[in-house]
Amino acid sequence: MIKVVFLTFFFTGCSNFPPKADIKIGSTAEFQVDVSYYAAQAPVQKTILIMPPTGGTNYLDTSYAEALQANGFDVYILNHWTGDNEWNIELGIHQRLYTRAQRAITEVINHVNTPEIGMLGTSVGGLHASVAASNQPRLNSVFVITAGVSIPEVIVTSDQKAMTDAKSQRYLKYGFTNDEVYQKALSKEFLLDPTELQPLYKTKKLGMVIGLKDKTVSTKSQNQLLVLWKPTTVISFNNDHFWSIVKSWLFKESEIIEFFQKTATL
Amino acid sequence: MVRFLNLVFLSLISTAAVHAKEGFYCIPSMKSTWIFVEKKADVVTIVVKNPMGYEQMPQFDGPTSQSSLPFQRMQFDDLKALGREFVLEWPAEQCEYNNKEKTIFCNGAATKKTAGIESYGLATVQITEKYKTETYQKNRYRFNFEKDGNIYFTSLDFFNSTCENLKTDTQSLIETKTND
Repeated sequence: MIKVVFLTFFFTGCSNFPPKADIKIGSTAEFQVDVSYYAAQAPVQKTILIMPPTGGTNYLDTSYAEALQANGFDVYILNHWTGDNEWNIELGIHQRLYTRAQRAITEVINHVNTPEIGMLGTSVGGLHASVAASNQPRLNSVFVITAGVSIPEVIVTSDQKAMTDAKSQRYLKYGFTNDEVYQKALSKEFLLDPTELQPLYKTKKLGMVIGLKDKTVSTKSQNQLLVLWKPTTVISFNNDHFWSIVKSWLFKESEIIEFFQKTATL
Repeated sequence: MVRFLNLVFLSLISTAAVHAKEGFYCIPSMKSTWIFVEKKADVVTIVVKNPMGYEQMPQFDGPTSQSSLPFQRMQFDDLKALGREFVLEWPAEQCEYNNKEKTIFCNGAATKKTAGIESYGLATVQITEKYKTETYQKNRYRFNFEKDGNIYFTSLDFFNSTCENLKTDTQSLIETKTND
């Protein structure tokens, strides 16, 4: 039984459909997903789920959603879900956070009726999307912007402040002597890495943007995902994490939309 | 045959001239104000985007005192219609543009404006900030606006490290990334 609570509708323009609705989706009261729903103008066969980066839904995510909507897709941005804000330096925190993200994705997929479902994920949203590619049978296409594997390696090598802070605190608390030891300890606690999951991604159409000077999700880890996935669409920028994300939107948005259009077979 | 090839060649050159553009964009972060500037043969276009809404757009660069706050409030309110994104355009002959320095000076009434708010000029101030051994370069884009007879100045600062030139062979951001 899917429970849907409509919170707010924003009506703009003169059309008869709500361009965007902020809703809650959840099969139980104890786990809810806050989504922004962009309904296509006509009944559609294709839905895209958008997973935002760290910091939450931003202008680029809503712009992608509007552009995909205008191109005939139903779109859901997964803004928040139960337990997504938990944080401490326990090594097991990542497993809990990624498990909840997959549950949120499952809830939204179960809510969607279209036969075709794609996912667009950026940065940490891309990491969740890369897990979903091996974890969600109903997804048929996944496009990630600056995501990589292994996820423990991304956590260890990232220059993102939350990760570097956690790293220094964990070195002190657990006595890690180097990154290799730290990564091994994280890997033991993390069971959702795409390199360890069933290769369900092989059944999907895949695309990715790679940042060639990325230190937040290291270029090395992005290349490792490239080798694992062998995606049909690859776009690269000779930039760091932020500019690769920005330039994907500035200059490659139409290619990303085309990727989802081409992967829609119905 | 030679004449025909010459015609084709000239046609290609003129087409390239029409579509040739220079420009730059500054995007400091996902949430702070952005600017796109493009110069074509006949027109200079400026787009300012406020990803978090007009309320988050910085406007003032001068000294602020308690007694100036009511005036600043008046400006914030009068220019509110600039909204999440505004576009200004001037004929190219009214502007001086330096692609390398990312400086732009336009004089006279903008031929394209947003929400009926007039603009009579745009200037750039190049600023060097020195802090101990560090040096930071930034450009300040100072817009002039007029609403209901009141004249306002709005300044937007961007560190050079947050700006990039547009490649001439890439698509126009004004055409692809403007909602108007």
